[in-house]
Amino acid sequence: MREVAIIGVGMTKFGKHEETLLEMFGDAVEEALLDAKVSPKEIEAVFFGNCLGGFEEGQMNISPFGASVLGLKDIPTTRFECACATATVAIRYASLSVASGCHDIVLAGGTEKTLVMGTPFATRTFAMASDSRYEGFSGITFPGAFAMMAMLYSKQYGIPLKTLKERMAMIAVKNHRNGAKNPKAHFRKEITIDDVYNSMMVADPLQLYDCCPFTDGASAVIITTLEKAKKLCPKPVIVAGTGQGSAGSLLDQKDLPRLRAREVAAREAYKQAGLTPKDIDVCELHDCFTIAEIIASEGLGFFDHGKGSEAVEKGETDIGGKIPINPSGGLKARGHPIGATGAAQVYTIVKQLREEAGDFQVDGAKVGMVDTLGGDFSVVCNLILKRGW
Amino acid sequence: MKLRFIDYCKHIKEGKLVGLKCEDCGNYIFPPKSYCPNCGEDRLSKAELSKSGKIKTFTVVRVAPEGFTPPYIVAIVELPEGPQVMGNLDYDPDKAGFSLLGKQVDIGWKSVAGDRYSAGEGVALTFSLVT
Repeated sequence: MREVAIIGVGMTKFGKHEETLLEMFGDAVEEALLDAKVSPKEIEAVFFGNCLGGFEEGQMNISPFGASVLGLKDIPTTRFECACATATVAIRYASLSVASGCHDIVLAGGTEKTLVMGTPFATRTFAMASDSRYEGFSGITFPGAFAMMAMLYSKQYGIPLKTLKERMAMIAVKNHRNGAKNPKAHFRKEITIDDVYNSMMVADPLQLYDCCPFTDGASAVIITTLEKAKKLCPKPVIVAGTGQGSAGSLLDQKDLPRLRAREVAAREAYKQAGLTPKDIDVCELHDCFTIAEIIASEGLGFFDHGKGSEAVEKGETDIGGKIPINPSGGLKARGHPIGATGAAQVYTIVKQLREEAGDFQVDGAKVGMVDTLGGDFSVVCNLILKRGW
Repeated sequence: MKLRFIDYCKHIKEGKLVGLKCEDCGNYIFPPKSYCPNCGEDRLSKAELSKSGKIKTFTVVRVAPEGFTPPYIVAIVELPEGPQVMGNLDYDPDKAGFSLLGKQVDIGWKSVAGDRYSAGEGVALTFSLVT
């Protein structure tokens, strides 16, 4: 297998967009190609992330149109869909295609327009990522699944719900504080713990500010061999390890609040990279809900199981803390256009490693990790990225 | 597959909660599968499961998908045979609290009309507290 590196990243501002799915994708790719100093014609394959195009625009089979927007014909294009982990999985397979020798330069990314669906229908379509036969008819929602997780977490680790809620609110406050510094973030305003407590209840015990927003946006990365990357750019970012795990229906998962899919994915990524959690300088992880950030920070090995919420209280996940988590604002504040999220996480980590993250830079970050979760804990994909110079 | 969704629905409407049992390792399986997740064998047969269990976790859904009217409680219940099932707890959402965890429930069912994306109607399990 060949060593693989990222040479260019791009993303639209996340938020509300009037542009179409493909117009946003085109904008994100244009930035990534400029960043990589590569022309569209050099792209040999497109790994395209999109979850809900059929509902958002009546657009299926979007990947060939994604290539066409770049003026490309003939090349293989494939749509990936793994719910919220979509773009990370697309990037993983794009990396594997380069590592295997199948392609030399490829494009991976995603686009999503969830806001156009409105909350009731968007909630319906997101819920389609749970088991449609044996869960869906109960009216389960994604906030609902993570709310059930928060209850379980509180019971399992003997942390009173009141204490857990306070620490979850601190995560929302932290991620908004970070997002306020990120020009590409959906929400660029700081909030207080009282703002969280005063927001509407979405699924007990999760309130509105415990939840990431519905967001429009697109993101893209250009991937090539490390050998080629070193000739093309001064700061190639190596894809040092990737891992992906699955866990079936929520009802099949007996280890909750621990997530088997994440533990499998992270173990694989660390093993491939020859690194451990202590080596990670910065992490963008899946904080679709505040409780999700706590669980992910433990599953990736940064904290012991049951200790992730305490770490937040101590500021260990702040920029400047022991392991800065979601300096971009995370899904919570940067926003969550589901099919594009993973590539936006990679965008942030690449900028961090190149020390181009501006006001939310983590000083001296040399190794970064991406963690993206899809469905009701049924798929997790992890990437470990490091400086290639 | 040895237990189709259509037959699961038919059985529950007849008052039976049916899953699968692995003839090789004795593992009870729900939701239904083609192979046993415990031992990997395919000799599975239908098996009746208890219509009672304990609440593992729950939430009150207050922002619902299109087609559902909030608030309502969604819960996961552990059956004595091992599998977990999801359904709606018949209880006042505004009185639902942490103390519901671990409570014993009886299991019933209700028809759910579904929408244009649900491949027709389905059933949701219903849970009622054993008093």
